[in-house]
Amino acid sequence: MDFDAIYHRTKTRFPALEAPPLEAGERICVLPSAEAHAVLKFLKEDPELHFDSLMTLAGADTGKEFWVVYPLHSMTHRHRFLCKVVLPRDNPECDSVVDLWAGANFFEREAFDLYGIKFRNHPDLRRIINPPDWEGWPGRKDYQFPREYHGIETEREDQFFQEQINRETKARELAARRVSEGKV
Amino acid sequence: MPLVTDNLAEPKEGIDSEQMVLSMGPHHPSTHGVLRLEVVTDGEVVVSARPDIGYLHRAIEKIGENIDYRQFMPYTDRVDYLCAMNSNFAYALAVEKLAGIKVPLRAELMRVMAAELNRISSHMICLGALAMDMGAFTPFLHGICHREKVNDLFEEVCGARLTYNYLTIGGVSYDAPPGFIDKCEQFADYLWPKMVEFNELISGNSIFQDRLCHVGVVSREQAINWGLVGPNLRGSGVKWDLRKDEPYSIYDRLKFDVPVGDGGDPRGSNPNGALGDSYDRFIVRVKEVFESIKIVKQVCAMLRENDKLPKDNSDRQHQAKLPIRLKVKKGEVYVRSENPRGETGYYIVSDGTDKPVRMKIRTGSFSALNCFEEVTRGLLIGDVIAVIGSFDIVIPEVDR
Repeated sequence: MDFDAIYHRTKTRFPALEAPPLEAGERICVLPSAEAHAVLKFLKEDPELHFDSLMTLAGADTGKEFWVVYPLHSMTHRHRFLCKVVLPRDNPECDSVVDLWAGANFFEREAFDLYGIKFRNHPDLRRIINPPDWEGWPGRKDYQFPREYHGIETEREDQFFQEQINRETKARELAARRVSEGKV
Repeated sequence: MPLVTDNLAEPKEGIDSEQMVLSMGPHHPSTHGVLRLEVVTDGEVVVSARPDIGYLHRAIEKIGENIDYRQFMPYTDRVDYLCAMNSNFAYALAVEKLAGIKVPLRAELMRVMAAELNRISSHMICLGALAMDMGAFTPFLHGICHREKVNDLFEEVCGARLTYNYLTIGGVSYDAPPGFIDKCEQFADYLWPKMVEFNELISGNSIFQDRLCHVGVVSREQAINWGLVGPNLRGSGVKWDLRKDEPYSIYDRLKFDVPVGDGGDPRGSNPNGALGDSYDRFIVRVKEVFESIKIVKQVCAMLRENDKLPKDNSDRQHQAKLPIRLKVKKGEVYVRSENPRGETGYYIVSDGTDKPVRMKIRTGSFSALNCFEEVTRGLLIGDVIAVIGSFDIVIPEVDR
């Protein structure tokens, strides 16, 4: 089945689905965050669709909102479907899909680690790439790199390019501040 | 899966065993990089082995969000340095799909040639290292020796031996140097009998088989549910290869087979094992090397045909003509390609500027580690090493 067929079949069950028009790349379906888990469960268990494989799970920060993207694939029917959930910037939370696809476990931990997106009912939601005592969410657009970690300085005077580094740091901080103030 | 604990005798009365935590790695030769395993053991039996990753995290995804599309290409080499060409390939495919770039035929041929040669050299390391972990040192040296020949070919075509940065968006950086096609053909002819020898040397060895058969069994359904990809998925008997089933580039014009695991089948290559055990994953890779050699030979023939075209023909070019500052339209894309360690997917979100908003790299080793705890439960400590080796885990790909 192609995107339209899958989309319409799911839309008859869940009318709140949206598929924004496309400029480039691939069509993607936006799930309502409240019933995202129910839609994904339908996509997996419906015999006509049967998306038995989760290709990946990606958290994303666009500067205004967070996304959780679920590219799905079916080994039996050999078709694919991209869908995503849009989450608000303050307190992003959504349901875990580990009960549907066990492969989502590490991907959700990664999204939590980098973006601070909380997955409800996840069996073991810990940091995965960063150390357990790391502060902040490094994937976010307004993330400020810490000046020190356990007494280790992260910044050093550069013999040749210090001026350039200062300029770049200032520009980065400005950009991050604009994101956090919601001006982007 | 029969647990090792089922075969153990009941502890005698009055003698208690106690659980112990063993920290395996991060600097252990058999963990193939800086991987640390928190192994809880009960005597020799593993109760749980939890992978602890992140020692090699270089924030490649975040770097990708701060530089433009062309500048990111050298970073994709470092995502998985054992198959840099394939990583380049996956990224180039993703950006080309997003920007709607058409790649000339000659570039596609050179890309497939590079990708398959790199697949051979990557599998050589995997197969050799697995044998070395099991105590056989010679196959590793054989593997390194054959890999050296591939590196020489790559040095000739792009100047580098490990991180090639050969593929560019819209083509490849250099055309084939004079005599390159001959050398590739010679290499293919050289490697086939050498691989037969390698296969006789290690695959049929009964000690080696005893170490791998029935160890780390992953069933068909589990493999799909856990999101295993590539040879690990095919080892469990799922016939799924992106080159065949979702053909990209020119793979639909090439003839090759997709080997799958056949454990337990008396006529198959693994009659003593179970479907989806470590030996199945090993033998699938051995067979894949033969398939790659077939592809290299076919591409050589196609390149010779292509050589006959006039120089100004668009199919004869190795680069598509592109603007200096590449801008792509607003949109998002998830593109995957078949790498030696399974499918590598690039999820790119573009907002219409020359830098992506989000760049997510999905790699095969990451999902292999995801199911590691379940697969190794109840095995012996020595078998944990066999499972790491047969999953072909490469750490820079896990941490990115």
